[in-house]
Amino acid sequence: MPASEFSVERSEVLRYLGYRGQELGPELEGLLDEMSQRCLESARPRYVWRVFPLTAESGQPELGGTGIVLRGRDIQKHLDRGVACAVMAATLGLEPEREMLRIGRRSTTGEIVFNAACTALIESVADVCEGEIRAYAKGRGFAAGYRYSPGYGDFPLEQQTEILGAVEAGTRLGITLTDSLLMVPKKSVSALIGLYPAGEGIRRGGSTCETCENYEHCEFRKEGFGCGG
Amino acid sequence: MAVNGFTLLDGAMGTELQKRGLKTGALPELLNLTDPEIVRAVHKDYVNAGADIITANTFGANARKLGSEERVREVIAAGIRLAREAGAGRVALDLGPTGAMLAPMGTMSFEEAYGLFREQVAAGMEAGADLVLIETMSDLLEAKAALLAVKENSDLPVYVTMTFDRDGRTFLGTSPAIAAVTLSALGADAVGINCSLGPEEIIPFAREMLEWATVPVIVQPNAGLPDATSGETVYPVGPEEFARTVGRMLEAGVLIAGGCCGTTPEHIRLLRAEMEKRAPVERSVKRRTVFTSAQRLVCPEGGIAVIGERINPTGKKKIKEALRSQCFDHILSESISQEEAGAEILDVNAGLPEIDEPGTLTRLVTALQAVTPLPLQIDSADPEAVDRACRVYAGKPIINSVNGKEESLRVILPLAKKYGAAVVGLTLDENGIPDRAEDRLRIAKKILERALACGIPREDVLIDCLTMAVSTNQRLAGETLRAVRLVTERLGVGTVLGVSNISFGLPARELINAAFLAGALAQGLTLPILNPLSQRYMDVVASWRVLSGQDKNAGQYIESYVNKTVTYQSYVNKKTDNVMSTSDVMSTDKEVDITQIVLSGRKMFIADAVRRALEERPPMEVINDLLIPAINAAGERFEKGQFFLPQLMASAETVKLGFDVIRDRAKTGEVVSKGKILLATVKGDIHDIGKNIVKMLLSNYGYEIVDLGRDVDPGTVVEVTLREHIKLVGLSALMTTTVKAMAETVEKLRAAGADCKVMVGGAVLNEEYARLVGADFYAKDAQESARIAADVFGA
Repeated sequence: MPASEFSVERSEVLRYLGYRGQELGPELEGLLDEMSQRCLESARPRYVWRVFPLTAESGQPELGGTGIVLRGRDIQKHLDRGVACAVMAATLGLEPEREMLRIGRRSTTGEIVFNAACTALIESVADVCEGEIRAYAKGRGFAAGYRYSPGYGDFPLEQQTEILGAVEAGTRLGITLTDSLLMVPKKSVSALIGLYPAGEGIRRGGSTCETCENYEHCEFRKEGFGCGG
Repeated sequence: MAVNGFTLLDGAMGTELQKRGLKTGALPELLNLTDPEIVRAVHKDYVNAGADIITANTFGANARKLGSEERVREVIAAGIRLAREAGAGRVALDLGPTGAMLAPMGTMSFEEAYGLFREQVAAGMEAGADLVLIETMSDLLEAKAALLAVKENSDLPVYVTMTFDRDGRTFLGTSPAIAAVTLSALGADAVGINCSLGPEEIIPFAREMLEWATVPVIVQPNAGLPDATSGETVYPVGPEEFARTVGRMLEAGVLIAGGCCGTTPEHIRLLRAEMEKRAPVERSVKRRTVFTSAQRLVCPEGGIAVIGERINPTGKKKIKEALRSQCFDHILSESISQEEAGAEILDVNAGLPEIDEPGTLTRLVTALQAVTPLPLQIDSADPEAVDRACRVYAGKPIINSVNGKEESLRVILPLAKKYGAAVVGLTLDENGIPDRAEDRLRIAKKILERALACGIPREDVLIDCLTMAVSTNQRLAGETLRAVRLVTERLGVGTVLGVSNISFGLPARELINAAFLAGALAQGLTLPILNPLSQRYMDVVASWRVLSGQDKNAGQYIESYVNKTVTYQSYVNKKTDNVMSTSDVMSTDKEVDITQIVLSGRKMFIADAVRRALEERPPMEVINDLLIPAINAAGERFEKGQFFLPQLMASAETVKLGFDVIRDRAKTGEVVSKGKILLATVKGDIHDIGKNIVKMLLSNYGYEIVDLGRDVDPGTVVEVTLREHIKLVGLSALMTTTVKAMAETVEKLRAAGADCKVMVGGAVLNEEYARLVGADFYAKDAQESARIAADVFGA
């Protein structure tokens, strides 16, 4: 999966930088181009996904064949009426992180623009992965739901270990977890996508920031304010 | 046991367990306890298929995953026993990755990883394992931790395999050649490739390993790669194709083979048939001088490689400061500059009498590995510092240095052997540095012989014939050069030489150094240690590469120099030295200038503007009346939404360059700092961009920032706060899971009686949380942190 198959949309990079229509000078224009390019050059985008039948022996949804029981009321509601569940993981690899440290040694402006470019890229990689899952679902007469990740609502972050394990994200993508459950590489995404009989109403997580699909990677939130959505 | 001189490993465990209807869950190793008969049955199938070695079901059986050392012992004992009961010829204790990334990219320390592996090895020894298989490694440093854990705690043979992606690198950027060189040097009994891809795809990786590994090579490919878009895991390569393709690798020189994900007993049975019908290929590996980092292999064979000298506190104020404060930013920048200037290896020296050199050098080597891909030369006179720094180094380093003294030989050579390092031997002994080249050769010969006796291969011994100041004895320059020639010709080993000493005490040192460098290269010098930022030296290096034939057809040289005019900064009388450029682009009204320059983020103009302002005003006035109002103007625009973050940061960086000019010009003792602020992202957290933004902004208000980086131990924060008399500490944390580390840090600061205020910030924090963790202030953003600092320092 060479990075060239994915793109870094300038409008997305600007959005992550909190852009509100200010006038960009030539320096900043140049920096946006340069950092987007360095992001694409250093990233090694990869993703993996697998579909598991959903069972509910214990009352809670369970990824069939794995023994992984998904805990919490919110994920239960989210997967309610789902027949199967796709687990996906995506990453840009570790090199962009080294690149960011190098850029940061020279310029903090470069660092934050590069970081935003990487966020735009990992989202685009996750979208491509999600697109494959949607196509798979459609081909089998199912409708695919929205991405839902450990840490949303009361779906415990602690289950990240099992979720990543279900798709062997460690050996297949090189994603690891710290003791405080942060993913390394940082520009990584893990999510569940429910597959429902076509025509069923698909439930979004909810409307609060906490249940937003982008919670974990939200730069607005990291900067200390929400997106207003 | 072995087949025809080949060794046959087994195949996949996971897929076989699933076939028997088991839920493998997150911890398949627990099946050793819950479903032993099924695990045993899978082993039995592989025994019947003819595998010589059965891999126990202990891949992830470490205390991090299983919860306790006791559990590790239980699961490993059962795992080894089940393999044994299945009739295994030899049973391998299987060690997979810990599942955590090592620092500095992750948060697990080397010793923590080592500790986990050591517990597994102890359990494996107790259970009677016959050998250890370290496998599916992506991180060369983690593989090294596991390998050292085996070699330091058992006498078992140990094989190490890593997993590579389509681009021929592990997820952390290690190539098969780098893995082969480094792990062979560290004393693995066999090295290889497992998992990764299908057998066809790994053939080029296996060939690369065969070219570089000085020990037998292993392959354990997957049965192909499952189709990413099918939603299920079906491995496409069947037993016949698998065995046939692995057979081709046996023909190329692979001695040990088996299967990974998706392979079955049938794959292994057919692979055995492949082994039975052929004999192992004789393989001779060329012995070459080679150094590695996790991402780079440097082999100066038939040519030279440049070692950058700049990471050394001798005569460098900023490096001394960095080592004392443990804030390595400046040193990391130096490493990047040297790499960009063409250095291929970096010398790293942290020798200051007043600091804890072993601890500092170890932390510095760890930090450097995150930003530079260049192999490192560990430079210290302290054996403990050498030992600890080599330990955490992901690659094959150079140790600088051993010398002809008995004490040095006795202590340093075993370290070089143990860590698979190359070692620089200085031609001095108990009687000092001999004058005559022949006497230096004699010491070099003694060092080489002792190294060989210690098991260090000849190609890993490098000799430094020692440069002495030509101003003190003019005859000795020639003797040093002659010694380089003698060592090269008589001993056939590589040579190292620091060129800069030659000009000590003379003016225009670069000229002397460049001439000496050319002379030394002509005598056979292979590894010059120099300042790569000097264009003059790098020009000599590039030219020499043409003359020596290293630069084939002068390709590199022509590419670098065509259409270029080589100019050197001329040597002008110091008294009239005036580096100020005539910048006619800007108006002469400094006040307007500086604010405009800052608001437009035009970094290239700020230095001149500040220099001009300094001609008329004292530094503190330039700061308070020009720079700070300028950054305040940018801050105002940000708050009004006229600027967004990158614009604020570009202004901040511009101001910072202005500060750098003032600090560089400051006379010793002149105060241009409003106070010291310590910043750190707390233990367990590696998201540090918010902290970096705060740092950039604060440095604009004239504060001196001591940035301890990310994942910072509370103890380090306390230690530096006390030592540096810090009055304001800023801590950041991104996740709810790391806020507890923030509370712990504040608590320890208070307990130690640190006379400082604490401000905290980060995505999950708010006023209430800040109070809960015991902080004095909550900084909702970088602007707020500047207001807090003004409060604390009364500015």
